[in-house]
Amino acid sequence: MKILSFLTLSCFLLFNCTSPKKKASSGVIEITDGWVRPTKAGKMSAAYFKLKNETATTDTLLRISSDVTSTTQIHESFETDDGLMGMREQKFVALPKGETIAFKQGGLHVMIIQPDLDLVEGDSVTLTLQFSSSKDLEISLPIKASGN
Amino acid sequence: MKQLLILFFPLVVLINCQSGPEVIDDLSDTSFKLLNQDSVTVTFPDDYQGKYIVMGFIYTNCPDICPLITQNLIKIQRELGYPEDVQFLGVTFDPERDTPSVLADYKEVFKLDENFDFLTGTSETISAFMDSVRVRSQVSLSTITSEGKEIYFMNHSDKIMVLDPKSRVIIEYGGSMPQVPNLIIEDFQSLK
Repeated sequence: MKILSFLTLSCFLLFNCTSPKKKASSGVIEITDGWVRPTKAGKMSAAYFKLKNETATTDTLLRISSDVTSTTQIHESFETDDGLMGMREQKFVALPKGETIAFKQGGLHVMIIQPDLDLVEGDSVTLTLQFSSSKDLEISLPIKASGN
Repeated sequence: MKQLLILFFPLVVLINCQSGPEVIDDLSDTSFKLLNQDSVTVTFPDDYQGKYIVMGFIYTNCPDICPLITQNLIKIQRELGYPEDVQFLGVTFDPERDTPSVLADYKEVFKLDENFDFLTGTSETISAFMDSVRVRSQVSLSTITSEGKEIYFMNHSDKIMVLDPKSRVIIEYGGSMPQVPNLIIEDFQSLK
């Protein structure tokens, strides 16, 4: 029985915690091209990926949590009216059906605020995304210097 | 008239050839005592005279735009072949949080070489320095972490500039723009 439970759990983790080179999906919400910026513990990092809603209706990304910090937020970089670059928090992100929303440098991004440990190239960070309709999606993103 | 034109034309060409790149600002008369990531005092721009300077402006609590500016500086240095006569600088406009040791960590994370320094200073000096290079910043947004700590973020100018060996600003672009490395490399090729 124990072996069966172990095998079941392993299969569950394998399917739910995928590398971003592969696709991670929650039903029909799909995530690709994810990565996380390296940083030191207690500083600031960001996560980037593409989110595709292949469901039949508009869904909404409500919040994101991470295994490396207790504080994550969704922010968007923008240019102010007087020509400065700034960021504003997004409380949610609408995901129209059939569309891909890109979290990318200079635009939407996930703030990983004051991580508990150094985020080192080659390691990975787990994010859990919560939606208004689709089930939670757990993804494992590689830490690397740049998404290029 | 034709003879006059023939005589006059080479003179115009000669004057234009000698004029060099347009000078946006002359910083040779300024002097700022700053600290690099190793806590070594740097006198800007005197300590760099005789070198080109490629300089961006950042704060290390910025997770998106400032790393883009830093990445662009890195690409320019790499594409130019890590030239010894070009000094790369990242100057913080958030000196209260960006102490030398914080900048040393930032430099380590980006794996930068010795010809790439990050500079900070006293709040007064940094404020005067940013005025001289026309870089603006202001606290714009703060958030409370789950531990109850307040963190602020800043709106800021987005700029990379190039100074010639006489400490004159000769090139300026938006620092985080993806096309900036190629533009600056082309400019360098026409300068040298």
